[in-house]
Amino acid sequence: MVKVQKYNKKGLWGLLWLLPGLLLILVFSYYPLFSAFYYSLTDWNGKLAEYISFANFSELLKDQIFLNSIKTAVILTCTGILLGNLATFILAECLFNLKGKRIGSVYRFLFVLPCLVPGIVTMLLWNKIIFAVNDAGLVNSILLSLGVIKEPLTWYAGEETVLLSLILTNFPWVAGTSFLIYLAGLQNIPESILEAAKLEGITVLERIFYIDFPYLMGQIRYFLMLGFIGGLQNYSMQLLFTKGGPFYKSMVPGYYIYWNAFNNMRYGYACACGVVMFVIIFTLTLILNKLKTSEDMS
Amino acid sequence: MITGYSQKPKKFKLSVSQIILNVVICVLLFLSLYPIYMMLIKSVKTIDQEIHTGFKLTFPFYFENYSLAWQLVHSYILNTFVIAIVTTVGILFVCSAMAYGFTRYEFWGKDALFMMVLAIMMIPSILTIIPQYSMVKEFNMVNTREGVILPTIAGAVPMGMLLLRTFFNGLPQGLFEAADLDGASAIEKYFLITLPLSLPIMATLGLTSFLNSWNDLIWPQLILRKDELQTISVAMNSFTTNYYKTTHSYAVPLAGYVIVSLPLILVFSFTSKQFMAGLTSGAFKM
Repeated sequence: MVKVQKYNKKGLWGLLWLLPGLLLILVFSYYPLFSAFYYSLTDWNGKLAEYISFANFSELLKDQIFLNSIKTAVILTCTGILLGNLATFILAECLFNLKGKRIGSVYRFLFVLPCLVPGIVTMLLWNKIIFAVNDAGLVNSILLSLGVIKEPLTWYAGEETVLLSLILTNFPWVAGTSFLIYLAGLQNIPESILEAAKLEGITVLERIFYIDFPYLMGQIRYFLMLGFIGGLQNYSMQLLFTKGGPFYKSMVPGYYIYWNAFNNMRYGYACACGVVMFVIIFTLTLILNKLKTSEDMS
Repeated sequence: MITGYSQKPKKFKLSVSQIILNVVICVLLFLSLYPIYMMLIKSVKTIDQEIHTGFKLTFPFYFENYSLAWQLVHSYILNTFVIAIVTTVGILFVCSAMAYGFTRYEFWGKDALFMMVLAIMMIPSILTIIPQYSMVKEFNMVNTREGVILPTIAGAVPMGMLLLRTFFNGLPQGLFEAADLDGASAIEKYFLITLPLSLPIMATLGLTSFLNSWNDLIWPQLILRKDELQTISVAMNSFTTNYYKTTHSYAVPLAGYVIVSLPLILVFSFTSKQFMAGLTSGAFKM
């Protein structure tokens, strides 16, 4: 009781600590959020906004480019999450089972190294060197010399190849810091459980499925959540290179919003796209959270 | 374990499974590092070597590419550094103060405020980017560093605050009670107890914030239109394209890529221990 009273007197000071952060998010997060909802109901060119009720939304529902862009984003996000997590998980398992501390830490350092190269440089390397369209591209020159293909592939510039190229970018998807987080999860499994399993004569695969997976659920959920929220919004490659093309084949909602606002001056319409994406991402987050609580109860 | 007494002979026995593990890791490592290797060997080629032996190591190294590239990119490195440092310090200050307020004080409406901060994580940035841009334009912050820095800090508040709050909650309560008995002020408790004990998590948040800011692309390229303000992420694409148009060579741009990659690799070499410790502390899960 005494404690609570003491805290209450000082409560106002507590607010003072929160003030800088609260001010920033009110101005730069909450205000734009509410104005985005308002502007989604307007015809806005960046200067003048005219209220048009739900006209933007009824146009959106018939907008094939937008609807397809959602499909594209879902494909890219799901394959990205699946391949990326599988690869980093395999790497984490390898490093976890590796004996020899010294070599392990050298490996860890080397796998983090590529993510220290600026992201833009990695993207440029994939675009200009590895998946370059002509025979000066690395993959093209390898495939040509092996005789797998006769003509150089067009990769990011080809209608058929653009999605595959976006998925294959950054192959084998392990470099970065994600594998460290999985590794940390594996290292947190109590020694006694692993020893008991060893005494029972459990195989490696059995251990992965019955021990490692359940223990890594927290990390897997973290990456699922981050992967979906980040993946559905990602459009760096579109902004830099594909511009959503060719023939809108690589168009994703994020770039469609950007393009509508800053190229077509249709700010209001872009806000309406944003609201739809907000609803989708919000629902997904709730579902993922629901999975979490039902898991915890069982 | 049981074989503890016979460690010596075991040391020299290389099991098949360990060899397989090493091979798998090395293949993954080779593929992951290959783009960087390509960048390095192509950055020291003359135009002639680039055309004829594009993917092979060629001698002698042509280092003039680097001095030319340095002239073209050094201002972008400086710009990126200024923005990333100020953003990181801002995030650390704002988030730690906020987490401190949420863990060490009790007041009416605290839970509601906490939820209000967390709720932002549910808002996709692609929804707010347009009104945010028009607002920043109203504030006359287009083509200024503040126009990049302030919204970035605001965007990092929820995640950073949550991360730090979890950690601050785990700090031993007894220390604060002892400090209270000694008559320590709140500011003293923040600077002399909370921050020193939270160095690992602060280092992790600092480094991830720095990395994010260093790599941030979409927002800076909306705000920084003037060449003299541009960051690496914003400038490298047009730099590459323009250079290729006039010379049909990627050697100098690639030398530029190597140069802009070095600062972060240097920073990481000095801080990798803290960074790895933070990432492997088990804080990253849900």
